[in-house]
Amino acid sequence: MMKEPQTTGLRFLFSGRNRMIIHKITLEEVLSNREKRVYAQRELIKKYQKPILSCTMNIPGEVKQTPLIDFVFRQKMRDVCDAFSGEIIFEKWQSANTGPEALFVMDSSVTDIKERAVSIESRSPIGRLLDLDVIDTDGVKRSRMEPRTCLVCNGPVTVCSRSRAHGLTAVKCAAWAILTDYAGGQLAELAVDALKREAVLTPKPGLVDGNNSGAHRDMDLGLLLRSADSLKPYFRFCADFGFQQAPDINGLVNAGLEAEKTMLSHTGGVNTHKGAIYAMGLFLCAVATNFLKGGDPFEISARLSVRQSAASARDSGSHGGIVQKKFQAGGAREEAMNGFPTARKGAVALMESQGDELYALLKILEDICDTNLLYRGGANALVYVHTQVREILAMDPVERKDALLKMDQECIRLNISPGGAADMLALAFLISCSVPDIL
Amino acid sequence: MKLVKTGTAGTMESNDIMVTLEPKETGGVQVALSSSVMQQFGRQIEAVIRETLTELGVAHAVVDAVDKGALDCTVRARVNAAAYRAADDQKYDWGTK
Repeated sequence: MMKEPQTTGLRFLFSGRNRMIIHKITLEEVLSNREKRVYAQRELIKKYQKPILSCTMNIPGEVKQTPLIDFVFRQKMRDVCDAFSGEIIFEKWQSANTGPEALFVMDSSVTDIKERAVSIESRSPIGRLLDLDVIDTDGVKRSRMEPRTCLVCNGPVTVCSRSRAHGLTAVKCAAWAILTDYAGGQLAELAVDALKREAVLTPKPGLVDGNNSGAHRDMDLGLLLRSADSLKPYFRFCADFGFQQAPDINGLVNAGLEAEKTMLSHTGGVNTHKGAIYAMGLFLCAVATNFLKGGDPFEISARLSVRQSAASARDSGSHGGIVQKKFQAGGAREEAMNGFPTARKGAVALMESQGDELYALLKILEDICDTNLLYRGGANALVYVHTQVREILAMDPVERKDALLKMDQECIRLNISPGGAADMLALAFLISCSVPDIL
Repeated sequence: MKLVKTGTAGTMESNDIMVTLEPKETGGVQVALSSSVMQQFGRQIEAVIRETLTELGVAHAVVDAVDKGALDCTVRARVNAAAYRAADDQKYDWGTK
């Protein structure tokens, strides 16, 4: 009989941190915030003598700030910053009960800014929930030529909104559908990007990277990138799963199995991302649930993994399963049931080092119980990696790369590869992009 | 309520109304309104402005209002704030004058 990992998500159940404080705002808060915003715009114009791009979300109802709204705003602001890169002289961010906001002082002509702002607002459904106001140096707001349309009937919005033609519930539902649709797509993209970012990071000891295929004879970087792309629909499913009110866990289990098949069909039967399918799938669900209901995504992952585990058939043929039997090591499943402490540690390291990806990898490797290492090289391999990595971490950051290059050669010689750490690094990237404020 | 100076409240953002009140000694309340929904709601907005001023006991004033689709409750709140500011009352002072 295989032993169930000792630690379970149960310890999170009563932690009490999983409640979202939803603030219902008053009219006075909205109105005074608007005046303050206009005042801040005027002050910036006075100081810089340049036009302002003022960005807010347009969310109907009395709740203007949730994790979902903040995430969507952050993602859209990336588009804005991309579209206006090099033209932003000064930026000011705010996230309050009244919703997220950003003010940009722009070094461009008002007409030019407005044209591109309208194009961002108009080119996708989510743009409808974004207000990109352009204010000229005389303090006058440039209005768009075409009026915005109603979320429900697509008529001119001013009329419907003034008369409350469709009722608030219908408008809120329409906004909600747009928000979750966009967020689900973004989360799936972030997950694929995270896998690719992990794959291209070089040098990684024993793993496939930009220099070589490490201790892997059946895969290379191109294969990993193709495999990552093939998982996008699965990641989207996981995010949507988390957005459901009461999802059936079997749906997630089956989607994971399907994703493994998809992966194998794209890689010619090579197991490139089985661990990532498991870990990132769970975490995406948890993030979406966090967006929906609040709570700590790590705790949600832990609880979800317990349910997922109960609903899945024992996969004792996986490397993790075999090693678990032999070494009593929990591997991926234990990591999930504990709320991904190793991936979280990697994300924290990434943040503390201002994005030093190799440092994040080393922090993950320093004490991970990587079942891929155990499977291929036994306990010796694990001890070797931990010892080496701790030595490298003690070095000056500039010397680490050379040491990692040497360690890579040694791992190839020993035919060992920390595949579990690679999964956790990809997850750390996803964490830092999807819920950076939770760390 | 006695208006002693020009008072302004509101913004030109969507769903808002910018209200400016000027004190007057006689002649009742004069309202100059422009609105993005003038045709459908012009009368209604003007009625809310007048009603609010009556409730505040403002009998004479020049009102300039630029509406961007504000709801009645917003119109009322902005007229209120503009009146308090015109009366030099601190109630609606957010430190943004």
